[in-house]
Amino acid sequence: MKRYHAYTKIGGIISAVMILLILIAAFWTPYDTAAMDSSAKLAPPSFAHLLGTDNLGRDILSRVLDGAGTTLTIAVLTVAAGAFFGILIGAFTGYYGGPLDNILMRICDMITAFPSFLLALVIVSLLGSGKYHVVLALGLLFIPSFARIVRGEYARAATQAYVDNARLMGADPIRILFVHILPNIRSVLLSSIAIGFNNAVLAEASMSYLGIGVQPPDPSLGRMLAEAQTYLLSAPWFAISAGSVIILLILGFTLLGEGLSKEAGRNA
Amino acid sequence: MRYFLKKFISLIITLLLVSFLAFLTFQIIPGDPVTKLLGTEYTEEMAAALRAQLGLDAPFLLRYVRWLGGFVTGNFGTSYSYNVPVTSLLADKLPVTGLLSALSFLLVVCISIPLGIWLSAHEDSLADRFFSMLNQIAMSIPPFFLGIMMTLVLGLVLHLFTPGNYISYTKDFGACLSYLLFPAIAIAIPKIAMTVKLLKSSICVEYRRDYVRTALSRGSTRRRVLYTHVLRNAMIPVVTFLALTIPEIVAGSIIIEQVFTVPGLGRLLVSSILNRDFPVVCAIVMLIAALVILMNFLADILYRIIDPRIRIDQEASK
Repeated sequence: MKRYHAYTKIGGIISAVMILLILIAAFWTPYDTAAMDSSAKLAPPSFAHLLGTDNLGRDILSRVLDGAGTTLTIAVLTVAAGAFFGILIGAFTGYYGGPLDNILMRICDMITAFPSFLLALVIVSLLGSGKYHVVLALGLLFIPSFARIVRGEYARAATQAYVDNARLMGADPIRILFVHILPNIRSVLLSSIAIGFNNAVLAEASMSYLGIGVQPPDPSLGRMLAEAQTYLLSAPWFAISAGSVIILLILGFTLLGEGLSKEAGRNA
Repeated sequence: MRYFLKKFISLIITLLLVSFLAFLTFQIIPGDPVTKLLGTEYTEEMAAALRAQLGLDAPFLLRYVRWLGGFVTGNFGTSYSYNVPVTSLLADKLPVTGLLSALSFLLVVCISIPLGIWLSAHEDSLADRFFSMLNQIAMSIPPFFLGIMMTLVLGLVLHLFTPGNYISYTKDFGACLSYLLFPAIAIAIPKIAMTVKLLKSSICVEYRRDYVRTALSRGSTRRRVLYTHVLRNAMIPVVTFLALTIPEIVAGSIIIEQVFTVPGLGRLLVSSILNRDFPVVCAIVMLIAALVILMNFLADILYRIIDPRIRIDQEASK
């Protein structure tokens, strides 16, 4: 039986619970996220409103889970786009090498040297804000970092015996790349997906906090935090709830990524 | 020396490439600055005159060379929304962000290095496990949320500082520093967590090397081995990492300035993005890009200075 690192277990449990809650919230929330209750503005947590209400009397628990749904969707789409194109580029450049590999990796080095949050801000400033522009900006920025990691793994795999073997047996290059090598680098890939996921959550929350990311009516944890800051002293639970959800999302995947990379190191 | 020259040339080429890309990007965005400046009522002659005055009628490459020349001599163009030179907008914001970033970097260096050394000496102790867990959590907290919580606990409840009451460095330097200390801590904490983790694992790897066993068996104390041998080797990746965190800290200050209402580069950048004031955005992005490239250059050079093995290896392979 495979033994999992403690980090993998804790991270897996936190992430699974968060995803489950978000999935439930997608179909059912305790209150309508837009329903205002003028008699209970900024009410502290109670049995009626587990996390209290906001400045318009809306249920914070429902809104936080709804916002986490947006964050999760953006993060999943971003990482999927970044990983897909990153693997494609990394696999060919790493396996074949050559001058194209050199040029592409130089470009990747240049892009990854910049703080990705800043580049995403610039791209969104050019395109205009909104959910899909955030995905586009972050997805584009994630390609180079995935490409670099995948390239390194493919370059190493290309010299290994099982790849030589497959080649001698006349396997198609595409088959070698994606059927033989890809499953062998899955642990490295999984941990970089977890890290990418964190960066996506953090970047989306930061951009929305600044008012440059997700726009109303789409719910967003970052924007809720910006609103909550006004009522920090009178309703601290508002900011704490929104922030804690972001922390739990990131913590779960950080631990998962950390645990997976430790397991990868142990198996190697 | 040859290595230095080679790196320096590649530094210049990268800067030129990035500046060209930045210029190109801000050229192809839709929207004519001339019609924006003139408003709704204008004649074709007025537009043509203004276009000539702004130098927008020149061919693309000429405009790039002019823009670059202006950049080198400190002329970043005119802001669309304030109608003043970008330089004068940047002049009083730049020192604020500079001060905040420097303070934050100082905190990272002064806390993470002693803490990392201390923790590596007590590997697997209770304190080490506690800090490892704390480290994981610290890396998961978004700095801006940390800033909001600091505003609540340290500012509003404990009254250690008044949130929003930033005092200009020209008025009272000490008061300004003590206000900036809080945003600096918010930026520094996740970076401290990362640096401690890197330093600790780096020291632990070095401790398992043969030269440590040799030194210990010859009667050298653990303390002496640590400070004369292990640390010198363990610091190599850490120094490079620290040089590369500087741009990250500057980028982090963009958002933290918003939390603590510090009137720095970050707030200017955010308001310029929202107003689509592209000359200002372009200038700030170019400044940070230059910083990133310079720090990469510095990290490469430092790497060679502190690790002679790399220098010798590279010269031997030539």
